[in-house]
Amino acid sequence: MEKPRSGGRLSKAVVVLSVVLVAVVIVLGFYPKLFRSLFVGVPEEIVGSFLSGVSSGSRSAGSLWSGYLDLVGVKRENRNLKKELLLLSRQLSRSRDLFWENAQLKSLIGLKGRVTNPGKPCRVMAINPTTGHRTFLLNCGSVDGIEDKSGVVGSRGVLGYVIRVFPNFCQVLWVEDTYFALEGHIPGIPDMGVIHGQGVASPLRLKYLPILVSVKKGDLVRTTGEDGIFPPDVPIGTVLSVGEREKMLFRRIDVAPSEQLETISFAYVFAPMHHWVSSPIVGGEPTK
Amino acid sequence: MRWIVRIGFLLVLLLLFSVFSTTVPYLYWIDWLVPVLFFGIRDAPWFVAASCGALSGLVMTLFSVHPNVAPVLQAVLLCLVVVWLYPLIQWNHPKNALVAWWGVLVMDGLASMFLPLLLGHEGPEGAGVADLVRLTVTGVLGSVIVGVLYGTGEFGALRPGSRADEPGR
Repeated sequence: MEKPRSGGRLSKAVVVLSVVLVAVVIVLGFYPKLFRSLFVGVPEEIVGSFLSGVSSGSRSAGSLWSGYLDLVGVKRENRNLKKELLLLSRQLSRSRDLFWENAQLKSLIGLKGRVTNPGKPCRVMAINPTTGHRTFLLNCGSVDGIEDKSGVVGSRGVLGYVIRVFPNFCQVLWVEDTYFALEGHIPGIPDMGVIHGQGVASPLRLKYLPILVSVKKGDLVRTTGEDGIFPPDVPIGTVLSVGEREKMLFRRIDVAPSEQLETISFAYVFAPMHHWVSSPIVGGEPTK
Repeated sequence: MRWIVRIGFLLVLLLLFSVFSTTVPYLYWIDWLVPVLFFGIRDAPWFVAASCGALSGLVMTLFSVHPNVAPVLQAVLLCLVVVWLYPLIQWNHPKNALVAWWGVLVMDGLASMFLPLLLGHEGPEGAGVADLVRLTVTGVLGSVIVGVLYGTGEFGALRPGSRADEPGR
């Protein structure tokens, strides 16, 4: 029995397939578009898609990495900018303080040029940190020629007067304190009143102006110059409200002070025009 | 020697606040004597507290209109009230510390505002209001300090429930 020869059948099949393939190729040679779509297009599509995927993936990865690097850079830059902003804010705040102090100093220098009374510019050292009378300390004392009951003004008006003098500093009673009282008048009105402090954050009270006088909101209240402490026409404040008081002889007038305690840095202390003595002036022994 | 350091520190703190009040307007609305003494001497011996009050009062006479014994006595009284209150306060809970803090403030308010009225030294209309504002702002500040002390567990203050049943607390 003869064994089948598989090698011969395989070679026959190969030959047949080759002939068919060549025939198909020859036939398709006449139809290049069909050939391209069948044999070239599909692999091209597959390879192209693969390459496109790889390329887009790599581009995306590159873009992601680049974005991450940018983000890190932005974060660092943001941190630096925040630091810079903080620094600039501090510098701005400091500049604002310096600007304000400079403006106050300029006003005080201008004031010193305008007033004829001798005096001394001083710096505010400290404010009373407790509940109680509103007083503050100036860095001028008896060695600088400061005396008791000297008037103290800021760049915008009356601050108070000296109530105690130490060798190197002095204590000033703030205009809003309840112990503060000062003669004041409204320009254009012959009558004079007395300004009283009502406590911090409360308006000053101008007392003893007759009910018949015409006072309106916004009128300036100034010193009279007759108290021996302040020269005339130093601003004390502005009329805030005028109260009608029936059956009363005097008006109730609230005055907003020209100065704010928390904003003052410098003050000008007048040398008192009157020399205050401990013995009574009236009824005392005549001096020889 | 420790109490001298403590008194010195509190005095310096008071003076610093008086200086900072000239540049930071918000600080100006706080009565610094009460929080400084309340948080500074709450567990001090009687002698230390009285000395601290006396020295603080002496420093505060710099700002007083009447530089007599009154501000010194007021500060000493405040210190003694704080020290007297200390063992009565259950420091294991911020609520009790807050009650003590506001209790001291109310007493201070009574002493500084209503006592003069009771004695016949009637002040102007607005003065009491301004003092009330200052006391309220001071009270809020002290409450924040209590919160910080208990929140951080610093300065010996206890968190709620940490050692709640410890005797003497």
